Amino acid sequence: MRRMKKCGYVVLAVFLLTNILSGCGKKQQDSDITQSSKTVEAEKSKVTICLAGDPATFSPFAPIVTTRYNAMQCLYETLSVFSTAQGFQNVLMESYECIESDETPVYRIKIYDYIHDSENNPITIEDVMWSFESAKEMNSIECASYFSTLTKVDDYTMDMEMASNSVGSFETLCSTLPVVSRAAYEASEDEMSMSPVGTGVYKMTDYAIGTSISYERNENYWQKEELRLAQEQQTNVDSYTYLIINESSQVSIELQNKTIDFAAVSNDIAGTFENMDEFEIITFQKLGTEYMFLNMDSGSVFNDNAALRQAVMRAIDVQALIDGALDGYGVALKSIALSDFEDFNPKWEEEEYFDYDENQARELLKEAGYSEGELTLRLLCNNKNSRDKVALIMQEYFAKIGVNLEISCLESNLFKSESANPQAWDIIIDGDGGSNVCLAQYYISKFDTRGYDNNVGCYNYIHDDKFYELVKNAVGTNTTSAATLDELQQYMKEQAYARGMYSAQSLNVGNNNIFKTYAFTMSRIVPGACTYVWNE
Amino acid sequence: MSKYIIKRLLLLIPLTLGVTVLIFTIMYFVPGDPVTQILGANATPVQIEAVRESYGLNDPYLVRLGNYLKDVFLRFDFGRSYITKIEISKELGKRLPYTILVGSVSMLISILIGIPLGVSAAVHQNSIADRICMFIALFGISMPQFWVGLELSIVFALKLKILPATGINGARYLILPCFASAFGGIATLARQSRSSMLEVIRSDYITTARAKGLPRSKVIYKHALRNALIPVITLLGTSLANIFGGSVVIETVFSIPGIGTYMMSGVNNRDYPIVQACVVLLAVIFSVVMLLVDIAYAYVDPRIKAKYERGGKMRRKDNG
Repeated sequence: MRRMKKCGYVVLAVFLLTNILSGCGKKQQDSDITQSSKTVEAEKSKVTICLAGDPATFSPFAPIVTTRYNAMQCLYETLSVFSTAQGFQNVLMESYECIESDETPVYRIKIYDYIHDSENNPITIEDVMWSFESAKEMNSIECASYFSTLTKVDDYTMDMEMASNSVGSFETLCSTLPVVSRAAYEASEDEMSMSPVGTGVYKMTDYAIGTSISYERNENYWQKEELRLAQEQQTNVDSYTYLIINESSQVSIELQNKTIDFAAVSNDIAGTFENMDEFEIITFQKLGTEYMFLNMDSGSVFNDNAALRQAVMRAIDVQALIDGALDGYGVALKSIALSDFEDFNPKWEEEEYFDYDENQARELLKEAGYSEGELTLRLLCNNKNSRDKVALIMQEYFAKIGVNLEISCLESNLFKSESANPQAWDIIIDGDGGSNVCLAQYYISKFDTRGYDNNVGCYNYIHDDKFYELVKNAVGTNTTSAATLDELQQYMKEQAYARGMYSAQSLNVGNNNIFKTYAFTMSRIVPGACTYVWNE
Repeated sequence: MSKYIIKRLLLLIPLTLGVTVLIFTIMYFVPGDPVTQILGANATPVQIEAVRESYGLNDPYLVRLGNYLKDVFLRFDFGRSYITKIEISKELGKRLPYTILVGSVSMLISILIGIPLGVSAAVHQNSIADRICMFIALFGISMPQFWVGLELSIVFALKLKILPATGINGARYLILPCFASAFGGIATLARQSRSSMLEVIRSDYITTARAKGLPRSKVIYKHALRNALIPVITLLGTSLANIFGGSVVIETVFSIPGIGTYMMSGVNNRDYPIVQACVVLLAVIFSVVMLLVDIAYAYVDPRIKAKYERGGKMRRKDNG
């Protein structure tokens, strides 16, 4: 009896504790619901978006990583913006022309003469030049090295001489390097790390480290309504907040709780929302290419063995990789990059591109001098973007033709070190080019001859002068054409040094009660350009 | 006693120095180049060389170690992040309060639940209450922190909708991470309290106290518990260290901007100065906690206090 009584006390205590905790949570929750109810009647429209990591700094010249780019895209502006949907669009730049088109082209750039930032600091060409030179000096944004000299013409015009004649360099440079007022930057105590001042359509109102970033519309935006053509210049929502959540399961919970209205998610998480009416799964085609490179260094099995290269390339069914590793969210490539780019030749769509053929692969393997089970290859990849799953499926396909595949799936930094060692791998799968502006640029980043000279740029150590000559012609601003690109495409197919495999799609989940349409750039959402229920 | 505390505080210096040298050496030999992370895979050797030179990464190991020790111990400067270029000391200053807050509350929860649970189990040995307590303890020890955290989020944030799942914008945001973090501590403390208590309540002096007709509660809480707490206090120190060490997991799961998430970003980006600074800081916190634990012994057990005082007097006599 006494024991029963005590058990009763314990149950009562637990019950009381639960009520206390629930009660204190409930009261706050109610106020939160009121706060986060984003109805049409709300005085100021607001959305909350998930950000997968803390940007840590808002300095305009900090290295570009995805989370930082997302957090800063509405604060700072560039001379122009690029996306496959809207093309190359001027923002700060009023016009440009190529005034010299030799080995190092020179562009004359004119900016609008009425630009100012959110604190009314005027922006002149000197600010642009200072911003570009600062980025170059800090060595933190890769494309800052694409220009060699800047010359002031007048207060709003400058001449920019490029460091090389590589196609797409000018566009990448103009759409990547942010421009800020030198006066504002120098007045800032922390290099704008925590207190950004830019010319963007939104300004930051609050930043709780590692937790949230809030923005509101910049009422003092400089550009005239009729000239705000880029989607980055739209302001369809008064304010928005990024909630920083690293853990993917927590993202799913916060979406279902309506704490966040939009999030980029993984395939597994997206499945949770498939049958929920209030949510929409939005796919967006990423620009990045997933490549397969064969090691062409002098000691490699692939060097001087074209039949083996062809055998390996034809042993894999890329569509099966997409279906198995990405749940079908991807596009098989017919070249080194997507067909969305203007310089993609439509005829390539109809042509054969390392098509999967197990029997042919087996024959080629025999022709290469290997019997079934004799050859073991080492595949190197990093553990990001489902590449580990892709590697496992590839292992199965190689086993079908009698090739053993040893997989080394490393953490990304270690992968970078290992990939630079030609003795450490035979095949690499890796991705690149998420912010490229044309197909030819994909050749520049992985096969540029200057890169090869430095033993850095050419990923798989190709020793072939003809190949580099073709790359040079395909990527030079004066020589690039449908013909030179086609010649390179055909040569790549013939030699099978490397191939584009697929381009993945980004998966996102949005709240249908808030969003009507979604706007993306480089697979990142642009909150100001989306349309919402209050825009109807 | 004060001399002992000063001696222990002085011991912190070589300990911190040792930890700093050790973590610097480990990071030095970790594969992966931070410059590739800073500049991207397509950087030219000239660019790489320029950055390596500017960060002193080309210097020999001993020069780099010497420079680092000089900066940390003479200037109290942990340097700047390779990636964000932000001063690490400032960033630690912003993040440390969150880690300490979550850690302290978790510890408090562990104590408030774990010890009574253990005592109650010991007092009612072999009863249903004892078995339930020990089941909870076993469950708590076996479950990984991240799993407990996610389960708590699913139940309280997603299903019941009474608590927030992520962030740290007020007291109620602390509940889930603190309980998730405290879960292991509750279990360990409960098990230790139970076994210590069982040992003590079988002692002769407890039998004597009972025979004298003292009330049961007085016997348990005044005579037995105080003596049973000594091994529990030792465990408190290691539990708190585990909680701070586990902050990497808890802070990542619940999006708390503390030292744990900072260290994680440092590891992922090969941002050596961040990792080094976080480890040194956690080592100092751990040392201070262990010192507090030792001091707490003296207050709980008069024999230990007397030993310190006697030691001091004897030394004074010898010197005199």
